[in-house]
Amino acid sequence: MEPDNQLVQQCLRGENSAWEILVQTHTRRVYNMCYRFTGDRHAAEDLTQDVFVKIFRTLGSYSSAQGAFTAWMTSVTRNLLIDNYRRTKHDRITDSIDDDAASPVEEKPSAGRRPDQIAEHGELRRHLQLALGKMSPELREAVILRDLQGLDYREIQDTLSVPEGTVKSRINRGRIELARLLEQMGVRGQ
Amino acid sequence: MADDHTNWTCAETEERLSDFLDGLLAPDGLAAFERHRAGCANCAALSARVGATVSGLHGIALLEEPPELVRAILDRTIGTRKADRDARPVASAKPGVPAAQLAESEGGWFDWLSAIMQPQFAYGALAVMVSALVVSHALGIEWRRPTVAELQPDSIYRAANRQGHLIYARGTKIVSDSRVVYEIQSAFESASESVPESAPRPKPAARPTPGQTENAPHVNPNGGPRDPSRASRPANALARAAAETASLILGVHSRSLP
Repeated sequence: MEPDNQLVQQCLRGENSAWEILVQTHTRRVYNMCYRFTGDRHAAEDLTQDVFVKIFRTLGSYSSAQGAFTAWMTSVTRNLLIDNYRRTKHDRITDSIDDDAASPVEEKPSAGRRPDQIAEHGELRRHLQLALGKMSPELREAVILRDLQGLDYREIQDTLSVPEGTVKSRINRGRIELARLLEQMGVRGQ
Repeated sequence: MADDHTNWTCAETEERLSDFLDGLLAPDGLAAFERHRAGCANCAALSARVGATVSGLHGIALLEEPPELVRAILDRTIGTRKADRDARPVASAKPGVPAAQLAESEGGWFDWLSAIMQPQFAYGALAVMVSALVVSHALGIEWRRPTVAELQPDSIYRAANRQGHLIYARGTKIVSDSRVVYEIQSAFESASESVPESAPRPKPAARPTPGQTENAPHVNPNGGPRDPSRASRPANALARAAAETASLILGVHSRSLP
């Protein structure tokens, strides 16, 4: 039995220490996914809490036969992020109007450098966040799950509940779109 | 399938770009991809740009979560916990079960103490103590020198009975005294009203004018009436009121409690 599944069983038996270990093990992963999707640390913090509260309440419905606990947790996180995305749509439209005026000033210092070079200076993180925010949620989540969370195709397929071909297509289109947006920001490929 | 083609189009190459970057292309597909890229500047640039982006993404380390986040999650799920010295959940909850339900079924030995420590309970206890003190005082229990005999039921009954009669007697006396005071006040008012204030005051003595004869009517130089019986009327009324007051006071003393 996988360590996560064993911890889940202990949790269901009422062992709080097992739940603490689960939270400590996976908080960073969930927090990063939330942050990459929202681009806001405070929102990511709140959403991470909401994710674990939801997992805590629905842990009894998880079965190892459905797949790995990580995939189930990622699926819960993704559903909550999509709900939040739809709920905050109006706020985002208002914010994007303000961002459009401010972003050109931020993009100048990294002009002319490759993404892997500016990653060393931590600047790609900021540009990446801006670019991710401009992508559609379907492409954004596919790129986040594949290239930032490190999930394989099968796990992404389970998380998104879409066919493998759709997963591959979204990842490919998402990467190309992200590279195009970064180029528009002045981050050149070579 | 595109893998079978010797020469791929730009669309086919772009479509397989992620497979190429993830190393998922079969050998013949990889050869076809490389061949097209070598001959197409656009696809070569796109491949390089996306490859650099993916490398950059993979190079980004996970952000560290805020230090208080794990604590906040645990507080929201298994409940607020005590200080780290014992790290024991106060209101423990089981994952998969609503916390409120578990709080009822799995309370600790000392969980009831938390209910006592509420301010509402302290106020209630204080009110009960004050009420008990007042009632016990009314029952004649001396808490400074309490004796066992005072706490016996018949002693409590007798003390309560005595206190009840005393309170009734004191109340009756207050009402009676108030009635006497009212009667005295009424007597004084009636006495003052009997004085004929409306009677015209005699005019002050007019100084003899030049040419006035001694046969002119006599006027009291102090301004008082010439009839002595009229002057003594208010004094008589006051004397009567004083006498009535004295008799009433004597009556009150005679009615006072032994």
